[in-house]
Amino acid sequence: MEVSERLLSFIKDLRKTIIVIWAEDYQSSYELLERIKNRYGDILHKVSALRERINSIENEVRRAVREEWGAERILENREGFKEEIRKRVSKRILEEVQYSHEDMLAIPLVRYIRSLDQRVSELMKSEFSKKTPRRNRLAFHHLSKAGSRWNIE
Amino acid sequence: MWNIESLSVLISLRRGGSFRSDQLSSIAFNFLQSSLTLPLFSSLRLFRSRFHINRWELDHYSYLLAEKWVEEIGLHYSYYISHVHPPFLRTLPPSIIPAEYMLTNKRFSGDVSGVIGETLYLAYIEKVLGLSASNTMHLRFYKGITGDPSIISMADFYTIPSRDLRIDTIEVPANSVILGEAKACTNPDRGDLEKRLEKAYCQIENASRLLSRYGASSPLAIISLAIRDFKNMAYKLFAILLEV
Repeated sequence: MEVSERLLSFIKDLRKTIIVIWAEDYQSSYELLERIKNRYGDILHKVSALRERINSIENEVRRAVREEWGAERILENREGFKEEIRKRVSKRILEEVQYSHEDMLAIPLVRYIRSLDQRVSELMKSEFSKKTPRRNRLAFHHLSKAGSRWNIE
Repeated sequence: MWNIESLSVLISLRRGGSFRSDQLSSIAFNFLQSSLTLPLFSSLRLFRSRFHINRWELDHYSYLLAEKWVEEIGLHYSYYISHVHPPFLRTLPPSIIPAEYMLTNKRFSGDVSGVIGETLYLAYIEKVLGLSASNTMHLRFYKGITGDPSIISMADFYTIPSRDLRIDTIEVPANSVILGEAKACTNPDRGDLEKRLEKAYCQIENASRLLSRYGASSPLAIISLAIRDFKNMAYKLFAILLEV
């Protein structure tokens, strides 16, 4: 099960953005996020649809199991209830959804982008951000190998 | 700077090996007690190693996790292993101080113990296995999509090695997917360790099933269990490398 260079580069770009957010350079992180959205728009679009589909399956299954089991049985066996949902969701995904393993691997990336996007937008809009703009620019050194070295210029 | 002792167990499911949580939890418990003895007639291959980690590295790995943005995990780690309560708990009477405390300065989610487990997992794959933590991402297809806490059954991580990797007889080609699940145990007993290992294996199985529907499977899955060694004021890392 191998992944494409493109997915790898997507992961690396996202890592850079995360580090820039940690450095509190919200302007640069906003720009990086916009660049990622443009560059990997096709993946994001496809995976968002897959994410929605899994989401709706999950909701349907939860509703069905809740009705089937009833409140009392759920309270008695909460773990069993969760396990039943997991099993059914997994089975339905395998039966009904068309996807590649790379699509599945990209779901968490889409989730990250949404949460990061939300966070960065909030910080950009906040009064604090307007009064004290942070521009601590980072220079990236080969992140793929060591993964742990970066210098602040 | 802290020393982390690690014990890696290799199991090849492809070559007839099996995941026996009772046996593995027993090995993990003996490893914690520093009296490591293998069960009779065991065909398991074990490797001991040791790596160093400091407070800044722990912080760095914690940042890399992205999903669990916990600040100063290195500081929390030092509180955990040295049995010192953080300042915000010091004003409380000893009778109500919890053995484990929840984070007060987290950004997204997670408790201290879980984040320590995940950071040590990342340190282990980088320092012992030679994988890159930067090529590691969280893998949760469900959790977070709806925010329903009941749907947590996936492996924690996936890592994509940038070069071919060989661990004893296990061969992992570059750009393949390595699944990973990190657990932590603050007050370990044998039963607790077994339960966590079983759950981790189940999570790996679920993720593997969904990823390999067209036949291609992950060549390697890693389960790590960070165990607090209360007596020696340290953490030990028990890792299971599964050839799947």
